Amino acid sequence: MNRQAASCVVTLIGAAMLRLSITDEHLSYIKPWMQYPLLVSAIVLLLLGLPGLFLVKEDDEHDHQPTVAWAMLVPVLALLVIAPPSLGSYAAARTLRPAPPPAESTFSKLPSADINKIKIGEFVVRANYDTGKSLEDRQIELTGFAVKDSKGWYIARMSMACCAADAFTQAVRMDGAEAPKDGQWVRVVGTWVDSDKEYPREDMPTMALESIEQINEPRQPYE
Amino acid sequence: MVLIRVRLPRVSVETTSDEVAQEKPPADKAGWASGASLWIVVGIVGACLLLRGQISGRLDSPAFLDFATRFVSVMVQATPFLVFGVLISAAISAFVPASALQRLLPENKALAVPVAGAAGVILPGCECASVPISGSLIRRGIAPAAALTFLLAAPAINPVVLVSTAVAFPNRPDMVIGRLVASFAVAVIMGWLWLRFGKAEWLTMGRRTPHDHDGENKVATFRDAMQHDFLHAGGFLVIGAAIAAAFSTFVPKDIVDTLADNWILAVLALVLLAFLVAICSEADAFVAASFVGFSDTAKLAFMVVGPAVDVKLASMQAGVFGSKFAMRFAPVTLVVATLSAVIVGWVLL
Repeated sequence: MNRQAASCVVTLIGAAMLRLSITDEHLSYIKPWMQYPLLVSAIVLLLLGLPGLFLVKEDDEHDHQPTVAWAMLVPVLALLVIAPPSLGSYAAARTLRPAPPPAESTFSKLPSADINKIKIGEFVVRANYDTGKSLEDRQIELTGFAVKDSKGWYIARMSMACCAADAFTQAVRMDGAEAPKDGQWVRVVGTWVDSDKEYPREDMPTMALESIEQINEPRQPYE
Repeated sequence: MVLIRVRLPRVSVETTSDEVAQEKPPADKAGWASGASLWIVVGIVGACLLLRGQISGRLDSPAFLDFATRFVSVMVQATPFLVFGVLISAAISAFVPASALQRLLPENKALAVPVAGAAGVILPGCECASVPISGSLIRRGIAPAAALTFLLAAPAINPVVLVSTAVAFPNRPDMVIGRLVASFAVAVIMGWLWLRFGKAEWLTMGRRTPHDHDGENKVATFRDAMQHDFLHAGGFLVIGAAIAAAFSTFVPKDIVDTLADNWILAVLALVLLAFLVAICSEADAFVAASFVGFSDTAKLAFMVVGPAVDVKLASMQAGVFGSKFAMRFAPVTLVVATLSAVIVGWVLL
């Protein structure tokens, strides 16, 4: 690879990262705040690559770009051709296990009058670790996608520690309705089913469904 | 060892691995491939754009898309850190004279080792750049023990690496501190081991002198250095990210669980991966974090071993310092780095 081709690869990566950072597409891969560092790095890469496309040096005696640079075309092509979607039911089924204990062990009360919109991860933690049973007798609304296993079906959401590569599953077992097709996004309202066990609990918590509505994938697919 | 002191030119980034590790291909052949390479890049991208519908239609299995998402997300997450890292290390190569470090070091060699390690903590440098930099430091008359400590410390524990580790492991300052302590220990221990057991005749230096960039435009040097380092480190990151993503997606859950549940197997598996995958230190924390289910100690071992020794670094060391050196230094580093990570992980995590 010569210097000009290397500049071309750098420009392509810069363009791909710019596109990701100024559209919502980055939300499939990274946390929302990473948008800004990504935008800055895209601009730096474009400033680095673009001039090199046009500056041809006559004396390129020690012009020796790394062979491994060719590999950098792979992510560009992956984004251009496949544009991988956010992680869904395939990933969720592979890591379908109860969430680890939370860092905090005090739980705020949930208002009793309204439908409480909470995250699936919060539902799991309250169900499995809150000895004060703050979920008891509360109407809860959850948003996620459907995933099945041998014991039934779940509403699930992937949760990232850092980026999608380290995402793990948050899931609540659904009771009282037919399973939608795998990966279908749904909004559900229901109440927690207390399993009468000692804390901490190691099962997946269960929700008794009152209503279920099919929806499109939300803008921010991760929790 | 008698060192002939000549005024050597500034360290050049052009002397990184590929040149060091391989013979240059014959000029005419290289010239042809080199000249056509821009059109090959344009051709590949154009063909993929034209055939986009057909290609993406065939690659739609859920397992493959899961793999692709994980692969792309490691690349996207790591890119800003990689760009920032190569920006700073290229700036140092182009604008900071290498003699600056020499002035910092005390005369006493045993004392110079930890000071060189501390200099490595402050100065961001990519591991690919640190091998030739250390080589030129030794040629310049810096004690090999100190130069080798710098070689191990600079890429492993600089500010960019520590920030990326903190981002990869949110709310886990112990991972960042563990990495700092374990990697610093490796660098200093290897420096002292060299002082005690190292022999000057193992170092067969001076096969190559760096190009002289004094006459050239500094901005051009900086640009070339940054582009080279970015593509070099990024290329290895692609390979590493692909292996990590494949590991998360395709290896059966039972095998991963077996590896992850046994702490010795978990550490050995990730150490082996770190050695084979050779990811740049600015990006390896994101790959380490993606090994969901593995113990923190195993992840720490991945991050401590990777920047200290891997296939790429071992071959670069053989090129810069000679194979007699690399055959001894690389395996010992591997053992010391693994032990250091395990001990620090056991105490701290």
